[in-house]
Amino acid sequence: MSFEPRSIINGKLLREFMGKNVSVMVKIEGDYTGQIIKAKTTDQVPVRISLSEPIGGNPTDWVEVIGVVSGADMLRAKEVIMFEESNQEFDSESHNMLVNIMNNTRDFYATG
Amino acid sequence: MARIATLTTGCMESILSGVDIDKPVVQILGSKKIPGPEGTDRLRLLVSDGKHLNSFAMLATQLNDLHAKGELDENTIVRLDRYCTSMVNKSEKGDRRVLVILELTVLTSGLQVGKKIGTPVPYTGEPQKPASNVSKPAPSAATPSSNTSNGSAFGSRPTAASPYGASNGSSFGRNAAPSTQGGQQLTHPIASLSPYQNRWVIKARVTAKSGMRSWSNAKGEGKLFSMDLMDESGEIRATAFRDAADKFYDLIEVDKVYYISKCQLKSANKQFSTLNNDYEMTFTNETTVQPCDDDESCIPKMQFNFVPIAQIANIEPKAAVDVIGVCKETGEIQRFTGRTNNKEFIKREITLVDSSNASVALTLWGDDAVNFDGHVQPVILVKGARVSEFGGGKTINLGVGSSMKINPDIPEGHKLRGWFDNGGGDEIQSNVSTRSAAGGGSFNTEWLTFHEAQLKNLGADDKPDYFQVKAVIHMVKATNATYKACPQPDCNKKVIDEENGMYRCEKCNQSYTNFKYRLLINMSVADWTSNRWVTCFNEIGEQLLGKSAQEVGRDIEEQGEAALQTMNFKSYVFKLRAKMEMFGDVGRNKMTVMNISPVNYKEYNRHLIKDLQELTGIGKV
Repeated sequence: MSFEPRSIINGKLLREFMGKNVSVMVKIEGDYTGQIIKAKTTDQVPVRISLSEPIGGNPTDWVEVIGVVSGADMLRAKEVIMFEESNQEFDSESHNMLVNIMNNTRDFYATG
Repeated sequence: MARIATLTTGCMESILSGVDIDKPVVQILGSKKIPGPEGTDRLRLLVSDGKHLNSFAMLATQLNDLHAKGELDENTIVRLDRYCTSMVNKSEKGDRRVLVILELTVLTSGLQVGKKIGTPVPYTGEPQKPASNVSKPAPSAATPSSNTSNGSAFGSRPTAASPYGASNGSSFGRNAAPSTQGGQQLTHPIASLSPYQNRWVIKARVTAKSGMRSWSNAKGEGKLFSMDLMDESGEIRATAFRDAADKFYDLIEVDKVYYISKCQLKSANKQFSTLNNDYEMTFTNETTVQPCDDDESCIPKMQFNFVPIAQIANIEPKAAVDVIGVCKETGEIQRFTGRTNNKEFIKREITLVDSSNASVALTLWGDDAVNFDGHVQPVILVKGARVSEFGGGKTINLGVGSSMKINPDIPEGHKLRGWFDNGGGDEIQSNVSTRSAAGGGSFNTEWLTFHEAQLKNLGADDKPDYFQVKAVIHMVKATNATYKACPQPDCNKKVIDEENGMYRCEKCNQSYTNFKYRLLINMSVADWTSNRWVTCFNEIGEQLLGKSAQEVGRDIEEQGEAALQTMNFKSYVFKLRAKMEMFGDVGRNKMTVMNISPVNYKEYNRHLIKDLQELTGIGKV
């Protein structure tokens, strides 16, 4: 499997990345056994994620969804990354800020 | 388009030659801020009546906020409801009549007017030499004459009723005056007082009165008391000395209204006065004070500019603030003797809270401290409390020039009472008086990098500076990391090895067969900008090594430097104290570790994000 470049975004930015590869941190809300799961992004936008196959196992609250944006509130997931159970809280506010800064700063990775 | 108000053409000439024009309408063409002490900026306006310009128009400070709100922009047309003029003598330039605007109404906004009306020229009818005390004939508003300095071309004279003409250029009784309509006395607004005029009467409320104080120095001794006076235009401090102090002390009562005249005015000494006035006055032998028994409702009660307690943390020491809060806790009376003059001081610290969910320590002194009863948790109002800083925490003081009211009958007071009685004071999040020097606790120090600390020249003054930095230990000096100290629990003095198995403590004046190790570790810590050598004492060292000083001492004896290697390359949040210390004649900026804590990444991240937001402007609220 080759690496596909993707952008780390949040709910608000979904519409700007229509059809593109993205990575979104979401908090799963409610049922996670079906083909489509509901979740909320770090900026509190509700999104629906369609899965090619149901998530195996018991996902943690927060998961990283890698996939393609298929609508203003839709994601077609290629991969759902679950995190180890830990008592460390996910700092969603800071993550959201990171997304904002990364997507609003020109030459974010420029050095020197 | 809205109708543009018409200017009172030609009024400037009349006003500046001393004629009383009722509510003239003028256009503002510009403004300039004249910085005054302690933020009491004054605004100098360029005004035009369509014919003449006058750049010597001062706005009374209480109208400054109008300007701040942008209501006095260029081209704005205003009606001067109340104003006065006074003669300012600048020796090299001759006299200048200055127009002081006390009250005004905006008639047409600058945006609507959009242009300068007419082609006004600077008014040059002045200066008039002080010697010419002849009433200068003033033109009526209609006189279309050119400006001649001798005024001979002017037509009609002002009405005979005008009391104008005093040689000192006093503007007694001009438009500004009648603030007591129908009263027996014409009075002047406090804001119009200046050393350049002395014939005035003010009608003012005493908002505060000091106790009788005595002084004694090389020049002699005496006593004095001072009071703060206020009317609807502003406030002023007045002081009475010696005889005058005796004469007026009993007469003056706080909250009463008086007519006061014939005082001497001088520039205010902001060190002693916190009032919003550039001048203060001194009672002389000719001063008259007369209680005002009639209608005093036009003189307002005290004015306050309350600062939320949470914001006191950001206020510079020595500044004066008005604070209102509920007394949540009351400390005990403390008595102590002054270091220099053997005077006994009594103080009491109380804790105030308000709806900003912060608390602050208020120090009361002398009688205020003794008589204070805090167990009913009253609402406390302090006007002009002095902010002071100690060990990184801010406290407020009921000092000279401050006044305190318990359970004041004002809306803010009642609101606070309601807030507190409904559990408002239960969740106090921050105490602005927390001392960082106390160590331990979660004191708030500024996040800085070593580079920033250097740029800020921290520790260069007499007082220590505190800051916090996320840094990693990268070099520890093993030599002299421990010292042998007196074994007594409370004595940590270094002992002298008598080379005979005995260790002598100079402080306890005793020799012991044993000693205890104490840590005094010098190490270099670095953040991403730079590194610094810092010193840490026993407790911090034990915390860093996870061992007692005793164990560390033994380890060093056995393993040498290796015993301290475990400290290296670990990150902590260091709270540091920077202070200039003298070693012989040489000053060295020394940094001491006050406290270490494991990095709280969430909190550190928040700090970094805040910096990023400031740099980029992204996501800033």
